[in-house]
Amino acid sequence: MTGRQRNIVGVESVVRRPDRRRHHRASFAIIAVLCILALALAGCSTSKSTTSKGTSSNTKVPKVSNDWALAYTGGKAGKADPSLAPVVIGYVNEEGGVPAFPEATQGFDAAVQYVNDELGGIQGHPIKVEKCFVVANEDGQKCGTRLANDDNVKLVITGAMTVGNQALYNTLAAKKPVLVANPVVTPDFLTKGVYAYTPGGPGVVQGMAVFVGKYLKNIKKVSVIYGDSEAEVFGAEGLLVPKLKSFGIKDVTLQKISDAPTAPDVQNALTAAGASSADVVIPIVTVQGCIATYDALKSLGIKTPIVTTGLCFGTPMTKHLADLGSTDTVPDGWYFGDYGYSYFVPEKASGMTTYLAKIRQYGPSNVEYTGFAGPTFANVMTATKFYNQLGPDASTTGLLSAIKAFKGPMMIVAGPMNCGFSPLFQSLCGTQMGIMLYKNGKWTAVASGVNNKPIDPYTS
Amino acid sequence: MTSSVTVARIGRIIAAVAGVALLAVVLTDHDQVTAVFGGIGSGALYAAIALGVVLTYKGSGVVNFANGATAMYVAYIYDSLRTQGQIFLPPLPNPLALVEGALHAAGATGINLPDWPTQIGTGTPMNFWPAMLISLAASVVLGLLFHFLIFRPLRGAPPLAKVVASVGLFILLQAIVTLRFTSQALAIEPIMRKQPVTFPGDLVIPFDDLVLAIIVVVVTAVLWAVFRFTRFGLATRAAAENEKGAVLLGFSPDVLAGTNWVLSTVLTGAFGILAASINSFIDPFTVSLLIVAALAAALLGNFSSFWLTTGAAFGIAMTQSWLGFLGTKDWFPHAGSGPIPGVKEALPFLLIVLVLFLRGDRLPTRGTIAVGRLPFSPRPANVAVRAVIAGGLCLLGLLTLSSQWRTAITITLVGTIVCLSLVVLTGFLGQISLAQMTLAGVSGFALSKLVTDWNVPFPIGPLLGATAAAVFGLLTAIPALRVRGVNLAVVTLAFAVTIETFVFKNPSWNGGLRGAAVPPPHLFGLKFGPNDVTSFGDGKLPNPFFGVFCLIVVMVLALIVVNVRRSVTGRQMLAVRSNERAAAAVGINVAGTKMLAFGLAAFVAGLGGALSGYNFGSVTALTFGSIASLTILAFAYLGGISSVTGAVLGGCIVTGGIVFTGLQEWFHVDQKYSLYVGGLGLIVTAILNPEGIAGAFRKGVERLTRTSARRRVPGPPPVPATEDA
Repeated sequence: MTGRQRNIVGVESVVRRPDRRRHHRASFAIIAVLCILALALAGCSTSKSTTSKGTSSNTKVPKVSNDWALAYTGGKAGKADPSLAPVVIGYVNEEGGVPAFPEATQGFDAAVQYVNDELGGIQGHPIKVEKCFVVANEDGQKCGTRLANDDNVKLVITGAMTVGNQALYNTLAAKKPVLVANPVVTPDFLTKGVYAYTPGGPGVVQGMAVFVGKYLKNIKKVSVIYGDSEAEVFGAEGLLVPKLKSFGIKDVTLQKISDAPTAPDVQNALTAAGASSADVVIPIVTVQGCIATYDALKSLGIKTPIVTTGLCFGTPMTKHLADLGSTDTVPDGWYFGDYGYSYFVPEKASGMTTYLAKIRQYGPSNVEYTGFAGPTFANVMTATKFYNQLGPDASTTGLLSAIKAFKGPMMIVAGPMNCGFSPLFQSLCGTQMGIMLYKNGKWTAVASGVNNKPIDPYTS
Repeated sequence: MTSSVTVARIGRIIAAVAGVALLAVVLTDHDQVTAVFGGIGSGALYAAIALGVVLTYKGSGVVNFANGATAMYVAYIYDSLRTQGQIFLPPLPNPLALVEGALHAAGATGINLPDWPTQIGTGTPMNFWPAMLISLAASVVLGLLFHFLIFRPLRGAPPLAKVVASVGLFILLQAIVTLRFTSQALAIEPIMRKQPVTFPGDLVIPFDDLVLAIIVVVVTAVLWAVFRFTRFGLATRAAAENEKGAVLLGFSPDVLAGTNWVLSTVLTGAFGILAASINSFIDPFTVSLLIVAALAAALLGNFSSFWLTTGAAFGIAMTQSWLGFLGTKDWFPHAGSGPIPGVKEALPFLLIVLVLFLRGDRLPTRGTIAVGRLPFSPRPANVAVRAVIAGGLCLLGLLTLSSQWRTAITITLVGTIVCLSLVVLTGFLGQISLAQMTLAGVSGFALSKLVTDWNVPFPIGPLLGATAAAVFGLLTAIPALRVRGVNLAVVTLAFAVTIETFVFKNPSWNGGLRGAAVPPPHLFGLKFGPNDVTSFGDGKLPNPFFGVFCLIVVMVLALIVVNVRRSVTGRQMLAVRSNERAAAAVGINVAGTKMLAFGLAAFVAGLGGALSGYNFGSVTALTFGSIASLTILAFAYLGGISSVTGAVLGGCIVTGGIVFTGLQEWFHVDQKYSLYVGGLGLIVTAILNPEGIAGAFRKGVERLTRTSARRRVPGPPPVPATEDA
C-alpha cells in the first residue's frame, strides 16, 4: 500500500511538474549563469592541478656555469633590463584538451626565464612571450591569425601539437618564421616555411631501421606495432618498412593499434605480428602503448629485443616499473632512438648539462624533462642566438635567413643542420639521430652523438 | 508474413552453417586460434563497459554514453586514494570569487578570499582494500547523483534528450579529470600479476586478461540470475517492458531506476579499476572510448540480455583480433605497405548494422509512463525581418570587428550549417544521427580529392563534395527505414566509426603523407580564402570576404530549411516524427520522406564540411571523427534542434565560435574550462530546457507578447466609488 501511494505521488508529480518547472528553470538558469561567472572569475584558483608527483629519473647533474650558454647564445651574463622594449616571441602549444603537452611549455618558460635572468636577455632586452594554446583545429587557425596579425611578433616557436598544425602553418607560413621544436605530425615535417632543428620522427624512425639493419646481427624477421595517427602510420608504413627492406629484411609484419590502446589491444597486436618468433620488435607508440607493450611482453612471455623511440621513457614508465618492484627507470635491455644526445648520459659539449641544470632550476619540481621540454628549451636558446646576432629589432626576413642558414651545432641535437636537405621533409633541418641501450641499470651509447657515432639515415 | 519468416529462418540457418564452417577452418590453424583467443582481454573490457550500459538501460531507459567515462573517473579516484590518500573534487563555482572580482575591480587587489578545496582526504596513501572500498562508495554516490540530478528529471524526456545528457556527462567527466590531473597518462600499480598462462596447444593468454574474463562471465551470470529470479530483477524487467504496469503492481520505477544506476556505476567503477590495473595506466580517454564497442555489444544484446551482450562483446573483440592477424597475410588487401585500414574496426560494425537491419522491427522499445515529445518545431515567422537583422549584424561584424572575432564568426557560420542539417534530420524528422560530422567529412575529403587531383573549379568542387555526402546520407537512411530512436543513434555511430576508419584514414583518400589539402577558393580571379590578404578594412587575416561567403551560404541554406518546414514536405516530416504508423495511414510515404530528409541533411552537412575545409586549408580525420559528431549533436541540441534560430545559436556555441571567444575575451574563462562549461551546459539544457536556447528565447518572447497583449486589452470600465458600492 505504501509503495502504491508512493507511486501515485510519483505519477502526480509528473503531471504537476510543468508549473513548478517554470520557477525551477528560472532559478536554475540564474544559478547556472552565476556559476559560469563565478567559475570565470575564480579563474585558475579552482583548478590547482593535483597531478601525482612524478619520479623523474634521478640522474645526477653537476652544477653548471653559464659559459656554455653564453657562448651558444652570444649573450652577456646578467639580467635583462626590464626598462628596455621587450623582444616578443610567439609561442603555440597543445594544452587544455586531450592530449596535451604542458611539458613543452615548461621547457619554453624555463628557457625564457633563464635567458632573461642570467644571459642578459637579447642585448639587454627582455624576452616577452605571446602564448596561444590549441585544443582543436579551430584554435590552430585562431592562433595563426592572432600571431600573424601581431606586428610585434617576428618569430613563432611551437611546442608540440597534434591538432591545428596545418591550420596554424597555413596562416603563418611564409609570413613569419616558425620554429617547430617537436615535429610530431606530418605538417610539421612537410610544410615549406617552417623549420625544425631535429631529425624529427622521420629521422628517428629511419635511423632505427638503419640500426636494426646495420648494427644488429642476423635480423631476418621484424614485428612492428604502431599507433593509428597519421605520423605513426607514415613512420611505420612509409619510412620504417622501406628502409628495413633496403637492408634485405623482407619479413616485416605490421600491426596497427588504436591511438588510445588498451593493454589487451597491444597483446593482440604483438601476438598477431608474431612478436614471439621475431628477431626484433619495434613499437612506434605513445607512452601508454609503451607501458602496455612492456606488460604484454611479460604477460605473453616474449623475450624478443625491443627497439623503440624516446616516447617510451619518462615518468609514467619509471613509475610503472617501480610499481612492479623494479629499480630500473626504463625497461631493461631496450634500445631507444633519440635526437643524438641522451638526457641520461649528460655531457657538456651539446649543452645537455646546461639544459638539465636549468630545467630543474626554472621548471616545476616535477618537470618531465625527458620529453618535449628539451627541444623546446633548445629552440628558445637558438632563437636567442639569432636575435643576438641580428639585434632586438630583427626583421622577419632577417630571422628567416638566419634560421635557414643555421648549420649547427644545435643544442642537445646531434649533427650538422641543413634546412631543406630533403625535398620531401622540407621542414626538417636535423639529419642525425642516436641509439642508446639501457642494460643492467646503465645507459650505453650504441650509436650516438655521445660516442661520436650518430646515425645519419639519409646517407646510410 | 509467412514467407518473410521463412526467409529469415533460411538466412539464420545459412549464417549458422557459414559460422560453423569458418570456425572449423580457424580452429585447424594454431596461429589463427592464438589470434582469435588473443581477443579475450579486449572482449572482457568491452563486456565490462557494456554490462553497465545494459543495466542503466533496463533500469531507466537511458543509453549511457558516459559509462566508459564513469569507469575512467572511478579509476582516477582509486588511484588518487592509493597514491595520495585523497579524493579529488570537481572544479566548483566559487561564489566568493564574485565578491573577490568586485573588490578587485574596485581596486582592492590585495584581497584573496578562500577557494574551494581541490581534494579531500588524509594525505596518506592507502592500501588496496580501503582505496577499493572508498572508490566503490564513491561510485554509489556517482550513481545517485547521475540518477537524481540528471536522468530522473529526464525520465519523461525523449530519447534525444537522454542521449544529449549522457554525451554531456561524458564530456564533463573527461573535463573534470583533465582539469585535475592533465590529460597525461598516469602509471597505476597493477593489482594482478603480469604473467602468461599456457593452455594445451601452446595457447598463451595473459593471466590478468583471463581473470578479468572470468570475472566478467561470473558477473554476467549473477546479473542474469538477479534479473531472472529476484523480485527486484523481475520488477526492473517489468518496468522496462511497461512502466505503467509496474506502477500498478506497486513498484516505483524511480526506485528501480535509482537502484539500477547505483548497481551500474558500482559495477562499472569496479571494472574501471580492474581495467586500469590491466592497462597499468590511466588517462582520460582510453577507457572512455571503449563505449563505442560496448554500445555495439549492448545493441546486439538488445539492451536487455546480459548473456547476449557479453557474448557479443567477446565476439566483436575476438573477430577484431582475428582480422588483425589476417591483416599480416600477403593476400590481405593492402594500402601502401600496411593492410587496408579500418577492416578490423569496421567489419564488426557492418555486421551489426546488417543484423539490426534484418531484425529492426523486433527491437524492443521501452514502455515508459510518459513518452516525451521531441522539442516543439515552431513554424517560422517574420523570416525576412529576422534574416535581415541576423545577417546584417553578422555582416557588420565581419566587416568591422577585429580579426579574432572575424575568425570566431566564420567558425560560427560553418558550425551553423552542420547544425542546420541536424535541424532537418532530428528536429523535423525525429531521427537521431551521430554521423553528421562524418557526412560533413565525406564532403570535405571529396572536395580535397576533386580540387587537388582533378582540378575541379569552385563552386563545382564543394557542390560535388556535398553531393557525395548526400549519397552517403542516403546509405545511412537505409538502416533508418527499420531502426529508430536510440538504436538508430548507435547504428549511425557505428557508421561514423566505419567511415572514419575506412575512408578518412585511408591513404588513398586522405592524401597520405601530405594530408588532404583544400586550396583556397577563387572565382573569376578573385581570391577569397581566409588567408588571402585583402586591402579591405584592417588588411589583416582572416580575409573578411571568406566570412561573407560563408554568411551567404548560411542565409541560403537557412531559407531552404525554413521553406522545408513551411512546406508540405516539412509537415510530412513532422508527421513521421510524431508517429510513423499514423503518417503512413494518412498516405505519407514514410520511407520516401526519410530518404529525402537524410539526403537533404547530408547535403547541407556536406556544404558545412566543404567550408570547414576551405577555412582550415585541409581536412583531417580528427575534425570529422565520430566524437566530433557526438559533440556537434550536443551543440545543436543546446542551441535548439528544431528551428533555424536554434541552429544559429548552436553554431554560436561550437568550439572556437563567438560564445567561447566572448567567454575568453570578456570573462577570461580559461580555454581549459571550455569542455567543462560545455558539458555542464549540455546537461543543464537537456534537463531544464529541452527546446534549447532558441526555445527558451521563443517562449520568453511569447510570454512578453501575451503579457503586453493582456495589458492592451481594455478592461471593464472602472466602477465609480460610491457608498453603495
